[in-house]
Amino acid sequence: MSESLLTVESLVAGYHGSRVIDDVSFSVGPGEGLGVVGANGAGKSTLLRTISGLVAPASGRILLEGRDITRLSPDRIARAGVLHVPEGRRVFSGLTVHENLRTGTIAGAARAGSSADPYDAVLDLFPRLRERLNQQAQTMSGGEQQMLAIARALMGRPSVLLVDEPAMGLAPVVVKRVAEHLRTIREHWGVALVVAEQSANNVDGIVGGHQLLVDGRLREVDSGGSDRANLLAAYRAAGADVPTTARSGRALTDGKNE
Amino acid sequence: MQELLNGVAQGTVYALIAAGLVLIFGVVRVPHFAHGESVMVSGMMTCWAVTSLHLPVLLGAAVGVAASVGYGLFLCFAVYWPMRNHPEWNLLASSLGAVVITQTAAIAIWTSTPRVTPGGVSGSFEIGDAIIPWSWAVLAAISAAVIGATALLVSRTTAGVSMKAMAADAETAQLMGIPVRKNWAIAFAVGSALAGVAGSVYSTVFPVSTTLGLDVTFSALVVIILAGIGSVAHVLWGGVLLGVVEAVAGTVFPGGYQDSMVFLFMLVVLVARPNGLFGLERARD
Amino acid sequence: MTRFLPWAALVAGLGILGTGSPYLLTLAATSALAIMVAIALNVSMGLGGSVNLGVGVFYGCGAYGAALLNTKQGYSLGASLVVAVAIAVVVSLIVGPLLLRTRSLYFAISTLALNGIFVDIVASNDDLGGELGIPGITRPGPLPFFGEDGDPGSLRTMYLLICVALVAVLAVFAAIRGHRVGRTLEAIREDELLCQSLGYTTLGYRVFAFTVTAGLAAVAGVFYAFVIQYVNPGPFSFLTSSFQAFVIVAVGGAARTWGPILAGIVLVAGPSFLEFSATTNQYVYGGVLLAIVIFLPGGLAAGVDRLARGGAATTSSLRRTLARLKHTRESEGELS
Ligand SMILES: Nc1ncnc2c1ncn2[C@@H]1O[C@H](COP(=O)(O)OP(=O)(O)OP(=O)(O)O)[C@@H](O)[C@H]1O
Ligand SMILES: [Mg+2]
Repeated sequence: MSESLLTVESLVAGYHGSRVIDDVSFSVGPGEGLGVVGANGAGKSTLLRTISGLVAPASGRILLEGRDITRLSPDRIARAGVLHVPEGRRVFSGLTVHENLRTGTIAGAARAGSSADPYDAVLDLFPRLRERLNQQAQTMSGGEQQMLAIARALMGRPSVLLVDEPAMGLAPVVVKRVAEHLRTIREHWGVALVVAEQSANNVDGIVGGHQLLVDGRLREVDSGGSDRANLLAAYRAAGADVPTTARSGRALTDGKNE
Repeated sequence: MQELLNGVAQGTVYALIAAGLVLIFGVVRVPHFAHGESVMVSGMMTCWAVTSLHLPVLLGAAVGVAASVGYGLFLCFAVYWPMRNHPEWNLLASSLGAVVITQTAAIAIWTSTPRVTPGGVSGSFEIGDAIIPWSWAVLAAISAAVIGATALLVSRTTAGVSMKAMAADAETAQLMGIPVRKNWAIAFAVGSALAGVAGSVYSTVFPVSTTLGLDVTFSALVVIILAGIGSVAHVLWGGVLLGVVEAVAGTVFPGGYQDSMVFLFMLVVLVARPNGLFGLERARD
Repeated sequence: MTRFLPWAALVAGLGILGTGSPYLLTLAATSALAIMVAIALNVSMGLGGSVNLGVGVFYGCGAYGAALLNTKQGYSLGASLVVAVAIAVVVSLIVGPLLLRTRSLYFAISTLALNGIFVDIVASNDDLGGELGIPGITRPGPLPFFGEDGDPGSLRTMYLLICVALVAVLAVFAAIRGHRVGRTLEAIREDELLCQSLGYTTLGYRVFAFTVTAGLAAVAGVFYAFVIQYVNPGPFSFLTSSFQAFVIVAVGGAARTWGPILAGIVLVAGPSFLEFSATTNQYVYGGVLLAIVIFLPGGLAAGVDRLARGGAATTSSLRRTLARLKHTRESEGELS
């Protein structure tokens, strides 16, 4: 990787003594992607929540453009440019779509020298939301809420976007549309994208490479390899959905990640 | 008629106090039972500044409001913020502890004799056969104006929207970069300022005493529950409703039972709509 | 064996106080009653998780019931106890299901309102004594085996009976806490939705806890009427009764059997025996209350546990961390 935006070094995290994330390291640069794939309870959410400051890590470091953000509070991490689209979308109910988007601007406004207001660009990306600016967020469909959750985070001009299970509860066509949006955000907006999913299928088109999360450890899967059988076996071992359209992948680098 | 108008005037003050509590309770979810003490502190300080320092009433009111804001912020950061992860009833207990200490100190300083700040608006005018003192009208107008301004602040400014977001889902609000500590400070400062305005203006019209705090908090709670909706503006109607119900109860049962009427009214509302009396609360479910 | 140690200590302590002067006996008796009300509250607040700020209503039902029955009908202590407690239970069965439709802070506020109504009614109604209250309640005669010299109004007998009642009420609490019902209540407190989905009629359990609280508080009320021989609205207002009970439970440690006893000693009995001025008393009360809820969220009972276990302080703090994590987890509101 040429320049790294988000770097995670030997991260260990968990809850009252139990290790959920065990020595995880990776890094992503601008416009790059990382898929975190694992079954229920593998620790995907815990990994993302640790990066965004909601879970305090036991050890390890998290760097944003070389700056240590490990111990910052979640709101400061967001204002530094790491935005998290939480599992289950969690749009603010009782607030309109427009107000939801407005909450997103707070993170961006804090960073001096950021580019222009992303409002129009975000609504161009999600024209659906433009039609519904005054609707109460909680009355929207699941797919629309997912779009809103992503758009809300984009309003904060993220350099790193963490997305937790964007496909949850959505119809296949909608999953595809969300995936396209996320890819656009990564490729055209230059955002570093970390997407957690249970099924490798769903992240396949969004991010460049995947990693598997097995029992709290990341195992890297390079794209472009050839040993498909090994890849499938690794997915199965991790309890993840077996990708049906995955590109050929090479064997896992054994044991530790990176 | 006379009683009714008196009720309306009282009601707008209740509403003003309740609007402050809505901000504090709605946004940071602290059951701030010491809110009424802010009103008392402001009323007493205003009275003291005017009578002892011989300040003009407006400056005296400023002293009162400043004292109230200082008191609110002190409790916010000395008591509630360190306890933000404790269960709700623990916060409730601490706010009651603050009530006990504040009230004891206030009685020690100011005794418990009711007092009025001199130099308020005098004179009166007539509507039909009712005689309305100008001071009542001023009281009602200031209360309504301050509530309106606060409502605009919450609905129009980004800080206001971020407070609504915090009320709806504090964790996600943090993930959006909303500064939690700062919003606590804003909620307590603005909320206590409203209580402060209420206390200082009220003290120029009616006598205030060092022991009124908890009763004031109860009235504010009643208003919030009557208003039913978390929006600051609706509180105005809740307050007027309470003022009028009190006035009517006072004429129907001259020999007592006023409190019962008000509390019963509130109970009926509570039991009929048990979930989410604040719109803010409902947003969470 | 160590299980009986606190009980023995309690009985011994009460016994020692029982040898004191009439003044001391009155203080001890009223402190014991305040603690009894708090133990009653601990059923619905501690075990059930419903913060009831209206326990003074049932304390008052007991006291006023006993006062009226004794002065108007000539009922004895025993008969008043049965009838007045039954009245409180019936009242709680009527209002309980209504008020318990509300949750958390709204429940607290609605019970607070109930307390306001109760005090307003007894203060406004002349048949109930109005502001002046009801004087002239006759205490039961001295117990045959209990020395009566120098105790004309049989205050010592009343004290003895109150001690028995206190131990009995505490035993009832401990029994409920150890019983399946108590554990179910605690489960409901932690996650009502989950309990519902497991098929429990949670409202039934919550009404049960509310009623037990009402009944036990009424027991304390009956003894109040007979020991003080006079009832008026003041002692049953929110500030003096419900607030007091709530604070004792919070400071002692919710759901802990010995919490109310510890907190009652520190907050009520201690200051009144030390005879501070009223003002100092209030400062101490407020200060101790604040210090304990801020620095010892598990209450005094948890603090004593920690002392007893010496260095092994980690358990309760771990439990606290666990609870907090659980809380954040719950607030996520998602099923994964
Ligand atoms: N707040 C918490 N307290 C205690 N344990 C937790 C908490 N949150 C998660 N865990 C545990 O950590 C492990 C990892 O959970 P996590 O939510 O990170 O998994 P996940 O990969 O996101 O699963 P899913 O696909 O179901 O969302 C699980 O065993 C879970 O029980
Ligand atoms: Mg997850």
